[in-house]
Amino acid sequence: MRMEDMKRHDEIDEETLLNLEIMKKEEKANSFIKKLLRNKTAVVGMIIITITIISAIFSPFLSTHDPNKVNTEEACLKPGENGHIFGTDEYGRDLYSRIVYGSRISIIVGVCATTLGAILGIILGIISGYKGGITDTIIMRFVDGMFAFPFILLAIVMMTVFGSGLQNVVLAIGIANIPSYARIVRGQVLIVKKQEYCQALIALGASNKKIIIDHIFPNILSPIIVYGTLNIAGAIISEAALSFLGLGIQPPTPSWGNILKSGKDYLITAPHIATFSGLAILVTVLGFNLFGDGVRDALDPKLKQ
Amino acid sequence: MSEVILEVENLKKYFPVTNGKLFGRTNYLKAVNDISFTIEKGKTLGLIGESGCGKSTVGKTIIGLNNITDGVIKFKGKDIGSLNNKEMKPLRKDIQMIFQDPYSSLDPKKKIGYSVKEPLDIHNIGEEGERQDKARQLLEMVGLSYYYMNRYPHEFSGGQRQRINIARALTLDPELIICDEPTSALDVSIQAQVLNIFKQLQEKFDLTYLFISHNLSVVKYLSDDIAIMYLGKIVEIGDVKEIYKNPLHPYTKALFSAIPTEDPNIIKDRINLKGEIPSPLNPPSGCKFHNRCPHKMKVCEEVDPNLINVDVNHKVGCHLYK
Repeated sequence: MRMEDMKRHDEIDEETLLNLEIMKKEEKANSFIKKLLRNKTAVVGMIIITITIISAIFSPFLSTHDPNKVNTEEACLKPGENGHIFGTDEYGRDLYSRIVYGSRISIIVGVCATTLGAILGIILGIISGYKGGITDTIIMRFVDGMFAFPFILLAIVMMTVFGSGLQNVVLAIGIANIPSYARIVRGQVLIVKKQEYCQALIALGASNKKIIIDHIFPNILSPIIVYGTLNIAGAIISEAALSFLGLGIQPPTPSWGNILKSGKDYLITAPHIATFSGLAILVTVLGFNLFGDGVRDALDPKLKQ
Repeated sequence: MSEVILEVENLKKYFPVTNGKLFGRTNYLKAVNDISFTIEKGKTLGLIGESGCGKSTVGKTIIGLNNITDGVIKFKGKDIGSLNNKEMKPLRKDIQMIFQDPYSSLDPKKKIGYSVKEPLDIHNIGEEGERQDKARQLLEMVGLSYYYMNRYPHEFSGGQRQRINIARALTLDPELIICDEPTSALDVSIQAQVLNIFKQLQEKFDLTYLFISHNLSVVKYLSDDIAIMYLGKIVEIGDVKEIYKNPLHPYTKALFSAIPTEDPNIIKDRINLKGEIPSPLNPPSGCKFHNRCPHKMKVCEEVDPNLINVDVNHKVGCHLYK
């Protein structure tokens, strides 16, 4: 069965063609997007995420007022009063517009911090798990050291060192997330590396690059994506927490965290300030979580409805 | 005598075992301890032994998944043990391995067609279309329709997967295939099917097999020669018919007495061995088998017997035969 003999088998009969068509159809029906769309909770998550992203991109068009315009005469208006959908905050700024603009911060921080943490964590995890030995020990002890630091403390230290601001919030949350990714990835790599298909590839003479990119990476991807989408939610909460503590996004720039912070002082007199900003965080986080679960199910070829 | 394709001389493979402390003592697990054998082209050598006796290590060492501690492995006269990865790559085409577990030996995220053609990608042989064609042909050869090429491994049964593994091992037209207990995870009816495929392919492509197994009937069916391993050493090696007719080493005798007879009315004398296989970390002195041997002599505790010729193609390592 050498290559030359193979060429003679090119004539394909009608039955073959028919079967090939069925093969293509089956492939289409089982594509990732199709599976994701069949999952109702994932669709709900997707809708929530889409709304958040749209409001982040089109904030100027969606907002009804200037989010930073102070009007002390209209302070702490109830929702619906005087054309303010969600009411106003303690300086009389339109709450709805502030929350719409706040989604920008949340989406940017959520996506960027997660991507940053994931990329660095995946690189460290793959090197650590695949190389093993002394490299593994050094990387993992370093990661353990980072783990030993409470997340908020680590973020506070970094925010104090770097100073506040959007970029630094992303940097701090991203770096604080590296250890979890490195851990997850390393564990997965260790499992996949021991599988006989990886051994078979080594025996075939495949390069490390090919084994890692073509075989190890796709096999460890599902937990990373699932953790990643959940992590976006986590990063949004972290940003809110940092801003709530006054370390993150500085007022007057609206972020859900600092709106919540200012709302806490008026919980009795104007509960809508904390409620709407809190709800915005809750719904967005829920959306990412639902979507994350859906992605996991759709990525697993073993789950087939 | 036909061409010798694989020659293993005094192969040793020790695994270092540390006790976990930073400056702790390192012990060596002697998984394979000084074994030698040869396989001729187109023949099958069956390697039999209990679990943990080092038979899989032999296979993995030959294919280069383990480094050699000592000894020589010659493939078609070329010493492959000392080659580095780059020098080894062209030779890897000629030696392939079929693994024990049909469930973990295929990448679950890759379609069958991809897995089967992948060896061609790695060695950069042919065009994409030719590779696809070849994968289709190979699958048909092991009795699977090309229609399955777009399926994922989890959609197949164990026997089908093992046939896919066989197809993948054949992709590069190898000369030697190391089969590491390829049928042990399959049930009996499927085993027969897979074994017949092995046999047919051997006739068709003049393949050479190193067939590692603990299943005596399977080895008898496929092999031309067999080697019996105990605790990292070969205790008896030779022609399969000769050894099955006239096993000499006490361990071989005990092993073969465990094969059930075809006629249930015939009661065979079972030789029941006492005790467990000793730990390879702390093997007994002298003959490795002396603490379980029914014919133990004084010399057995002191001197490790060498393999000696008892017939034209039959060697045994036991002090009973001198």
